[in-house]
Amino acid sequence: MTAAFLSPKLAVLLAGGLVYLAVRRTYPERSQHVIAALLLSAVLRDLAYAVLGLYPLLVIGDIGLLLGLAYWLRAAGGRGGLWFRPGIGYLLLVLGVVLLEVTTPGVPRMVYLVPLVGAVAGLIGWFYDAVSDSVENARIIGEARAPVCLGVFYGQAALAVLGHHSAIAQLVIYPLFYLIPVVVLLRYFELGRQRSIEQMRATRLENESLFAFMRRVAGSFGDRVELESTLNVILASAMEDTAADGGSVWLLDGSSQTLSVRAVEGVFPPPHEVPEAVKKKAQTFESYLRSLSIRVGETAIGQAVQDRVAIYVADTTADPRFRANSDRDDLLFISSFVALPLVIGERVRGVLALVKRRPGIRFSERDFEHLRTFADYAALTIELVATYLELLEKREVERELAVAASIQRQMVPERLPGSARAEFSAYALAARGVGGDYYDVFELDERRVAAIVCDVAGKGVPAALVMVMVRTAIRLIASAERDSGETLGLMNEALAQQMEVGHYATIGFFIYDSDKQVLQYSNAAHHPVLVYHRDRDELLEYDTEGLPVGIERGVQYPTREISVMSDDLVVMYTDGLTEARNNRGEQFEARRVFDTVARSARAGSFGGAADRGVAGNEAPGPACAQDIRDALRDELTRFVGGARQHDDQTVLVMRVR
Amino acid sequence: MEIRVERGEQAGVIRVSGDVDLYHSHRLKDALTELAGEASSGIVLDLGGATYIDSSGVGVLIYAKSLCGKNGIPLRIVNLSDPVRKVLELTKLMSYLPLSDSEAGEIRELDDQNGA
Repeated sequence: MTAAFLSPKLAVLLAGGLVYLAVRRTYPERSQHVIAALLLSAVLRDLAYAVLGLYPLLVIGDIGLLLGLAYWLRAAGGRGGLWFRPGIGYLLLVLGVVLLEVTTPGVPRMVYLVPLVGAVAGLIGWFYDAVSDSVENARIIGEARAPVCLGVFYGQAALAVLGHHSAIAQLVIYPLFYLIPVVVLLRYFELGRQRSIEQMRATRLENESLFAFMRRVAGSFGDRVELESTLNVILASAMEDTAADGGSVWLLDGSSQTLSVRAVEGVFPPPHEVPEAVKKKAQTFESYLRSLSIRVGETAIGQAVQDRVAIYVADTTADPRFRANSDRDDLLFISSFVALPLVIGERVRGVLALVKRRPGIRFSERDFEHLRTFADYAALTIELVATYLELLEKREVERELAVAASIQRQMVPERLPGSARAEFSAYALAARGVGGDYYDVFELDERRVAAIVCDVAGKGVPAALVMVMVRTAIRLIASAERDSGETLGLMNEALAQQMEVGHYATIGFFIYDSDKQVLQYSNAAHHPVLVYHRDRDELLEYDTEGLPVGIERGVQYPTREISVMSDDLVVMYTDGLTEARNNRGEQFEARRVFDTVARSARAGSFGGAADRGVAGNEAPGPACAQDIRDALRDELTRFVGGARQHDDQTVLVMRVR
Repeated sequence: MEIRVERGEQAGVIRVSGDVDLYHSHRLKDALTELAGEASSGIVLDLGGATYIDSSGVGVLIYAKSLCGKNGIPLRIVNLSDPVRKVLELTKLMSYLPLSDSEAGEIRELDDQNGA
């Protein structure tokens, strides 16, 4: 009775239209209209079948539907490009339908199974091909298999049994087919929604864990900022966030291109063989690990630094780089591995490496993504702390230098003793902060005068204290009764006892006896003394053996006697002169000191030869101590230009009258 | 300045690169003290990468000699770079400090001494 009112064909169309409308209402977004479009195409297919009555139209429509689904799958990240297996399925489907159409109604119903098998085989093949390459959408593709394959199978089986012209087929089975794409797509959107919620949650967690990390770094500083504690916090945070079993931070030594371990947590097996003996005791293993270094490019750790690329090995079993870590019962076992280079701009500071050590337990992709972001923050933090520590170190040293500078200033003699027998001139240029230069001239008796130039090792307060010691000791020890070598020997005895190990001073020391016109000279590893013999017009260098004072007791210092005459010049200087640098990085060198002294000694009191040529008639007098000093200072100033000097420069000149 | 400490089975090696100056030499001193404290059987100090040394740095070398002498640990200073050599020559410390040119030989020698 209902046949006229509710013809099967009309029912199909009605059901399709209702579902279409329902879907459009439920998913108003444009991107979701694909569901409606698929449904609409199914409805149009059935409409065409209803009007034209050709069964192949249904099949062609189904193929179109499947192609639509395939396109969608491809868009969803599946491969969808392989048509071999699905192609065979489609062929079987078409073949089955053609057979049905050309054969008589007497053919057994089971022939329907041909298109059925074809359709299912095609679908399964196509789904497997599509899922194999994509991890991202594996879940939706996997979940879609059941409704698509089972739906088509049971639907077609029912059609085979009931006949596709029967009322039940038209009223129930065909509309059920519509539900297949609907179910798949609804599920797809649901998964997408879940994924975006998870992503939001992950981002929030990520942010929270990064903030927590920053708080921990800040909290770890306490009274002192230390790189080690920062590295430990970085490592602990990274391990906590990813539930790693072991981790290590390696820092790069740029000059030797090696990485060495600076922090270790948990059990961290290196990705290479280790000696058997090391594995026996946990303590031995840890100390082995701490002294380990890896060249850039070697192992997965060195590779991460060389390529500046994070390395993620979810499962180490198939990776040849972890051959040494494959035995599950071994201490070296690693199940999953991550190495992240710590990069600041163009520079790699080191690498953060984490491991999991339980069979089957792996770092997830999300762990890896989190660690990549984390490594950026970690690298910045390390850079910041390292820079801060360097600055702090400099500031501490510089504060100390300021204290020492004032000590040094008070020690430089205000006025050099001049006498009828010898004339002195000196200049001392203190570098920023303070070097350790000290000079002094003092009379031993009415005919002897002593002069010392000293360079104390190091800078700052300790050096200044040594300077004070030297000044006190030399004034106490030097006397008319001792020659210069004995004086230095006694100085050394006194200082070696009092000075800290590693502190020392180089000293050039002479005593000038104006009656004998003899210079006694002894050198404790200072620059040799320069003497200009005016009568011979010769500048000579004199030196004696001997260690710097303050290093070792019992050092003998020989005394060298040098005969001098009126207007001879004696020059002592510190290495601030020879090591003075210009902006090109060149050093002034001892030879320039020598040349300058020689030139100005020869030029005499009126300056250079050119001046003499101009002046013409007036011959220059012998150069005085100040001439030499000024010449050295001017030459040095010209040489260094504006370059900043790092060491004191001291020159002491004596002219024999 | 960068310092790398390699704790071998026998001798410990400290490799120094960069400027061994006032601002950095105390770190070398700390590293030496630490290594000597671990009762290492010998210390090789590799100065191959040192680009500059000032008197503070030389002081640390003297300290190293004294420290190792006190602890009875053999010390060898190897691979003098030119700037370092120049300074040590000037301060007449070439024969005072235990210097050597070949590093490999020194480590072996230290090991042999310990083995004997």
